[in-house]
Amino acid sequence: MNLNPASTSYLLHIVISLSAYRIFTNLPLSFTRFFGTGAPLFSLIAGLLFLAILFILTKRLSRDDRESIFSSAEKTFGIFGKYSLFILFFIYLFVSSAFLVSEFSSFSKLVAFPLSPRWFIAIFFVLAASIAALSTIESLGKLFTLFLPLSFLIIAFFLVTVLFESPTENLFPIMGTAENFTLPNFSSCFLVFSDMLLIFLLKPKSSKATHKTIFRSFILGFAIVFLLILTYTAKIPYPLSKDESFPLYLLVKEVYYGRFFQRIDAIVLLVSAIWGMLNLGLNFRLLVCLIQNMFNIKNRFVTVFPISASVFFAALFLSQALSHLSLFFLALSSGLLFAGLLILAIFIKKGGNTYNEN
Amino acid sequence: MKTKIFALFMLFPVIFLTGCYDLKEIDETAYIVALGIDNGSENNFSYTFQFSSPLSIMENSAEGQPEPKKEENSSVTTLTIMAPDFYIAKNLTNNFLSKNIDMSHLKLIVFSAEVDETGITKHSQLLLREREVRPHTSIAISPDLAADYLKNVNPELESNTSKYYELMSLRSNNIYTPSQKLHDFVDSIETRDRDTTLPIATKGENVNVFPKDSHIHEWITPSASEISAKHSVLCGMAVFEGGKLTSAMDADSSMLFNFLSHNIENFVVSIKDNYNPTEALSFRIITTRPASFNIDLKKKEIQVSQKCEISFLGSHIPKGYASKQAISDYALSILNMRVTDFLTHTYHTQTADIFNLKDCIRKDFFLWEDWNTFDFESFYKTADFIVDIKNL
Repeated sequence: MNLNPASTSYLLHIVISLSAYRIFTNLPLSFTRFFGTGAPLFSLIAGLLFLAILFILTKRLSRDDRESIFSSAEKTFGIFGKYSLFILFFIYLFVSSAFLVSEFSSFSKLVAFPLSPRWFIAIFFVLAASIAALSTIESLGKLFTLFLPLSFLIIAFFLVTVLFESPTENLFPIMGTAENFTLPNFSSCFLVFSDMLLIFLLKPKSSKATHKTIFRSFILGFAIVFLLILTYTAKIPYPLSKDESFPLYLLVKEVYYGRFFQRIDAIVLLVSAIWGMLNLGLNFRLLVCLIQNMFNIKNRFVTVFPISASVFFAALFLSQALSHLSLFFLALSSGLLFAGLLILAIFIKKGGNTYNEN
Repeated sequence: MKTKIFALFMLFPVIFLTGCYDLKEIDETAYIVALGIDNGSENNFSYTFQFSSPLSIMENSAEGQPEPKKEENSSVTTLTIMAPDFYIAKNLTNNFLSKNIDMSHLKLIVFSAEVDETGITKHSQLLLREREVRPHTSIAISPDLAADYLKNVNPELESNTSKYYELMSLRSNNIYTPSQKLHDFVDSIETRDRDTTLPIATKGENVNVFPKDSHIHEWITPSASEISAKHSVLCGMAVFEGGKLTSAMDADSSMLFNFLSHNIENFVVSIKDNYNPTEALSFRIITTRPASFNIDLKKKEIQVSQKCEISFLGSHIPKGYASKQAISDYALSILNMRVTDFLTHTYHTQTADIFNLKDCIRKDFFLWEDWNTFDFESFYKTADFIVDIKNL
């Protein structure tokens, strides 16, 4: 489950991706739905708060280079702690993967394939991720390094140009519908960043440089989420904005660089497909690693097919029969995982020479 | 190495994703370039679809074959269908068209002024939500039938009607009408607290359908002009309050609206000579940004400030003026009076907030709740306009 110490430069791109890829989904809209024109301000607060939580969790959970999070859980709570954490990570990864397939296939359908059935588009994502699950995290890290900077710049460029053409008056009143501020509402907004919890599976080195890399890349990833929310609030006036879906798609439709440069949907489709496949590939790889490590299975081919098939069908259920519950499942699984990590961070036992990677 | 190959292989599905479903053969597709919506009989609407005829465009634009201008526009085919709903009308076209209808090249939507608030709101919303329709599609309103406007369109010096619509509606030198995009229009009427404007699409002989004499007698309006030779024009502007068409303004008012909103960058105005009222003095006015509006709630004042460059278009200084500066100052004073007159008429008489002044004080509020309860309308109906146009 470790990233090779030499490959911490890939960590930068993986963390940016984990914190930013949900701009292609409906999740950033939760800020607008709850806080109206106050969405940018509250997203900023949520981002800073999440950064603080991440700092504390990372500080507590990754002090020892040689120890995985499961060994720490085992040392602290015994075998029960280890398997509980395994189940929490497994459920979260599974739900997050199904949610990712469901949202990205819907996004692709909206952008370019209105007549294609959703399952048909989902097949491509699952196929790509299944192949990725057969490689290593380091190889995936290289792909992230190859594609992420360009994708990141393209999306940022589109958003900035739309922002410059948007009326700033739409950003006011700055607090928006702050009267809707309740703990459940605000915490559900954290779902945008919930995939960041997966960095504890990647077991970053405990060196200061690694921590800095994580925080810097989270800030970069958060910057694009914030840019999206800011642009969306400025471009689509409230209360119209709260009833829309897929904010990035709506903003991309607004890109107009004169008569010859418009309709950049094809570029965004390509960027979103690659970004989605890479993240899903990472999720699948982590799921395969989890199962291999927990059950001591040597052959990864055996684990990939059941994972792909079950995620594919779960994604179809989430996007059709259970579409109204998909956010609930994601919130529940990430909430439980967060609670598990928090309990571990509070009671974690340090020191000792016992080292059991499994 | 094996793992790296696996990683690279995962990108292959991206390539295959683009080529299976949703293929569209260009010669099997009929592209709508303009859409007209009128009231039909009973509860029906009358939809006019204007399709592009690419082969005719190619024939017309072929080099070395100058053809005399035809009475009818051969680059488009226009069909009118009466139906209770837009999608029924679109489906009905498939009963006699062999090609698939595509709206990705829709450039102009024209509503008839007869279509009520609900009809305009419903249609503009559903068109904006159509995947193929772009948010930048232009939108206009016709005092007559929208179908008549579209049928009468016969572009001058342009063989491609689709390009004609795009250039006519979105270019910045059409000074006598505002430009409006579908997205901005829907935003304004859906949020309900905004007033907005639409360009008026009408026949050439109807440009004076909404004449409004200026109260400033030195100001020369274009209201006496005629464009008799042209079949269809965009001229003047219709005002919508809360999604409802309430009034219309003439070409001159539209020009001032464009001047203050910076929809146009330069234009020429003519003013009667102060010392010789039978003569007219012409000035070029160049703006670089929209006018700024400052609202003083206590003093009940709305301060309007616009910077522009005024240059006299004459070869010599007319009698009575000491210098070119004196002529410019005179033009500036008349322009100030005319803009004040225009704003007072718009806000006090027509009670339409076409510049969205309410938005200027949004930043003074913290909560949406407080903003919603603020009654700006009763303020601007009686507020004084202090206009300050400066010559750079």
